[in-house]
Amino acid sequence: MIYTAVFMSEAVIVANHLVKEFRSNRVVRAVNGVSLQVDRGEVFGLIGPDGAGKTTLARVILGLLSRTSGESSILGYDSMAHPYEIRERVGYVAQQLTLPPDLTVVENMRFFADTQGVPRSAQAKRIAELLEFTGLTQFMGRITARLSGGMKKKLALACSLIHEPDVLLLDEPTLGVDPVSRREFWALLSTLRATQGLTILVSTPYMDEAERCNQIGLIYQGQIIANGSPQQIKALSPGQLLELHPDPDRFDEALRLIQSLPGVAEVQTYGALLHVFVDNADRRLREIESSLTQQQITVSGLRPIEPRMEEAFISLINHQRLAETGTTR
Amino acid sequence: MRKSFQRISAVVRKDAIHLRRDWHTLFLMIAIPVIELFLLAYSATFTARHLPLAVYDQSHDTQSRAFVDSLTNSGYFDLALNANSQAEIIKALDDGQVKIGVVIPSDLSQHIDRQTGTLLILLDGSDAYSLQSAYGAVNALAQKFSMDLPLQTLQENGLSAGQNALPIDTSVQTLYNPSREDLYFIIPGVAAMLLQMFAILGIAMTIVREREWGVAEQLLATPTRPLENIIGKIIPYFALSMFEMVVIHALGYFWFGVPFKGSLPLYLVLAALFVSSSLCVGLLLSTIATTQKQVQTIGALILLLSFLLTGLIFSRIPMPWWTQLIGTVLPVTHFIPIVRGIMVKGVGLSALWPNVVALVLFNLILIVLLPVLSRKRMD
Repeated sequence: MIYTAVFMSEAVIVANHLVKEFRSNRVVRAVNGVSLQVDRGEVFGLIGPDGAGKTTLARVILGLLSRTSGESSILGYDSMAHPYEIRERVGYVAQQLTLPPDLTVVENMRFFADTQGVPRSAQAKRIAELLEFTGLTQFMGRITARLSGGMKKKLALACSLIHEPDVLLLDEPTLGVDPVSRREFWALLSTLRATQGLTILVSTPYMDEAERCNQIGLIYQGQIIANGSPQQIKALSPGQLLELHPDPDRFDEALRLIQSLPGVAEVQTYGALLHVFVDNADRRLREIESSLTQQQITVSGLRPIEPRMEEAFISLINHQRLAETGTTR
Repeated sequence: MRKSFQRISAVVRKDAIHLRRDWHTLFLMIAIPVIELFLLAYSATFTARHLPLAVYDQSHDTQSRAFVDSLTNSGYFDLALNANSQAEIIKALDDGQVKIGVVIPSDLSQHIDRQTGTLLILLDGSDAYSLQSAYGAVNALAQKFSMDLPLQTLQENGLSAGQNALPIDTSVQTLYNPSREDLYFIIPGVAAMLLQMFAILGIAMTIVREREWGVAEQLLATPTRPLENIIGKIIPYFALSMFEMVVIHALGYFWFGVPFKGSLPLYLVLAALFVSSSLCVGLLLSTIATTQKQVQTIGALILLLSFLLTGLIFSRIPMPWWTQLIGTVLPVTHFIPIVRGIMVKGVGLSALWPNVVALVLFNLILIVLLPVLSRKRMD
């Protein structure tokens, strides 16, 4: 059953009410009814905190783990029934470094080229191209274990691209990588998408990386709690956003006071900062300032700011939590 | 098919690189069995000789001296203490200074004439090993001594008893190992056991390590079939085990001078069966163990069981059925009779077939297990 490209947008990765339970002492639903669709040429970001089910979801879609119920497929191939058709067409970068650490860079690339059935005659050229692309040419003789964290990720990416896949599955590829290398890694992904039209599913705990995707699924406790373009997700924020820096000694007092004010939808704490979602930024800014002054709480840096992915995400999680506690009561 | 072969050879070459890069481990893997072979061959002797002897001789006559001489001349005992009382002998036994004590009553010659001679032999029972040798040796020597006495008396009286003084003369012939060299017993068995450990630990460690590294997950995400991965691992470890076998046997033949009497081609075929049986046990171990440490711990247990229950040192015949059963699931139990049979006795298949059948069964289990063990998924 191969999906044929009839429409402009072709669903490459599909999940329908996908459920994955782990049974040990108790049943854990790591993936709890996930439905998503990634179209050809899209970069889909699976964003969520640790333990949200990102890795399990990626593994089930790739057929590395069995599923409990629901459906998933890549390029029309069912994850469970046709795992090898999928693996011949998909590149996968696992979360930890999963390349043999005592092989050199080029030995690793040759190993994965062979496991992917790349003809020997084509290997030299392909490996040289990918080393060039990832900037690893000068490290080709180095033992993988001695590469820096960022270079290891780039090598894993190069190995996953060796067989010219149509789809890339990246499981937290930038976890534990320095900011510069993260930026470089994302630049590589953008190039791949732009030049080769690769469909990319990438999971990450970093909100700033979400902005680089054109579709986002926010995953929390095994469920996609929101999905859409970054703009759509940010639009889910409850109103406009104010930032302020209250007197650190009276932080809790300030937090409670602002929460009780009219027009305030939600207050989030960011270290010593408070982010306040309000219905009208200009009007509430003045009201907050005057109520704090009344209580003799000094405040600085009170200003309206543009909501980021992070605020939207935390707000969505807070609502999710409220809804859950609401239903259990 | 071409791709399948390409994938298997990729895994073989990868594992060969692992072995080459980690040459410390490779060296240890090959050298440790050789060192163990030397240690065991030189230290593990089954007949204790030169046991320290204490004598409390109350007679000090020709007969008593002749008896003590017969003990020390046998090579089994060295006179370590001339005691002046029985208590002194017991103290020496307590201290571990001697392993055997002999108390000779006063006037031994007169006792002999009246045929009432009694010797007291004291043995250290806490050392079961030398006890066995000392007991056997001292009994035999004392009996020979007392049998010689009537002959002597006859001769002194001018009579010749000739050859038939004693009604039964036993003629014991040790087959296959005429000089009763312990090495003929030890070397083949130890070689078999070392080979087994080499194969079991080698393959189990590499599989578990790959899982610990996470490489197993990455490999699973490629079109490489799990069966191809396992075959790709069996090949280098099979080759390495066969190489190690040749090294150990070459040492046994050239260094220790243990003869190789049987058919070498037959031996190689059966050794290959044995190595693949051991790899089968190693594959099973890799499914039970989740860390390399667990592999080593279980490996140590297998080593101990191989020493105790497989006929390597202790005969399996007097063992209770359940320890025999435990021995049966270790390939080395079936290979020890084969290696001893072919090397020392020079026998062929007609004598060894029950053991060969057992090894063939192990390999059938391996063939059945391989697809079961090669899981398509991580869970």
